[in-house]
Amino acid sequence: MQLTDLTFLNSFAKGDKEKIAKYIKMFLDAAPGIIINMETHLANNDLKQLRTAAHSLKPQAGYMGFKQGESLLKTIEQCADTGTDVDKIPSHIETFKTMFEQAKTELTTAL
Amino acid sequence: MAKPTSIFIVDDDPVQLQMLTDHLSSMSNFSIKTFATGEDALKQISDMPNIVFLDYYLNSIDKDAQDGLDILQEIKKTSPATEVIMLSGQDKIDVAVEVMKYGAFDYIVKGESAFYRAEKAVYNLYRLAKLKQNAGMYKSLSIAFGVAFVVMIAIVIYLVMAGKISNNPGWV
Repeated sequence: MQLTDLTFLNSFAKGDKEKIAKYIKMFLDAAPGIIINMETHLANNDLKQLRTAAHSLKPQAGYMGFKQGESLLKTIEQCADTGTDVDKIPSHIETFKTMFEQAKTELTTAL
Repeated sequence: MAKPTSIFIVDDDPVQLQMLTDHLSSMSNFSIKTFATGEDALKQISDMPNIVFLDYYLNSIDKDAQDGLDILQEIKKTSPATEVIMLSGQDKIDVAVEVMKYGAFDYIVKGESAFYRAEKAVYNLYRLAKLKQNAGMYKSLSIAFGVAFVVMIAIVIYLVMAGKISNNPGWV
């Protein structure tokens, strides 16, 4: 199943392939660092920073049409913010990492 | 506010920063400066930008960076005429109310519709600036008319009292 959908990005960039590629590259450059930050903050039990990291990646995922990833980041953000289901955060991050690898492959193909 | 030609965009999300810059650039020939932290933007606030797009959370990269609410207050203190439009990934009414209380002109939730809303906010600010300009012009015209009327009445009274003109219209 395809995880990304470039409909919005195509419409936003009015079909400008260079612009679309620029946004995709920026996302692919930024996301791995933010995922590492999320893992580090989780390991340090710093839920505030974990929430901020998930929050910052959420809109970018949305613009790439990576809706499942965006939704999972929202869940991580809410768990970290409210302190509920904190025990589920590690598995959410693992799921996100797996989904991101597929999204990355799809987006790289679109470049 | 003068015609909005100078815009600062402050966001630690590079994709959002770039997309908003591209979108606003496609609207008009704005002078746009971008910053990853509020502290960097404040260093150049003496430029007195017309509009600042300001992210609510600015500490995803630098955890010690000040958040958008602090920066909003600093901007309003240093450059009161600058209009601040807050950006946030959270769709919460209490956050929106809070930022408006501190003087933000608008609150935009990040997402696909954010760019259209940013465009509308700039358009609304431009219209507001025009209205203020027109209101100022009408006020000046009203004052000038009032002064001219008072001077005219004073001249007529002076001429009547000096006997240069009669207060009898002539047909009585």
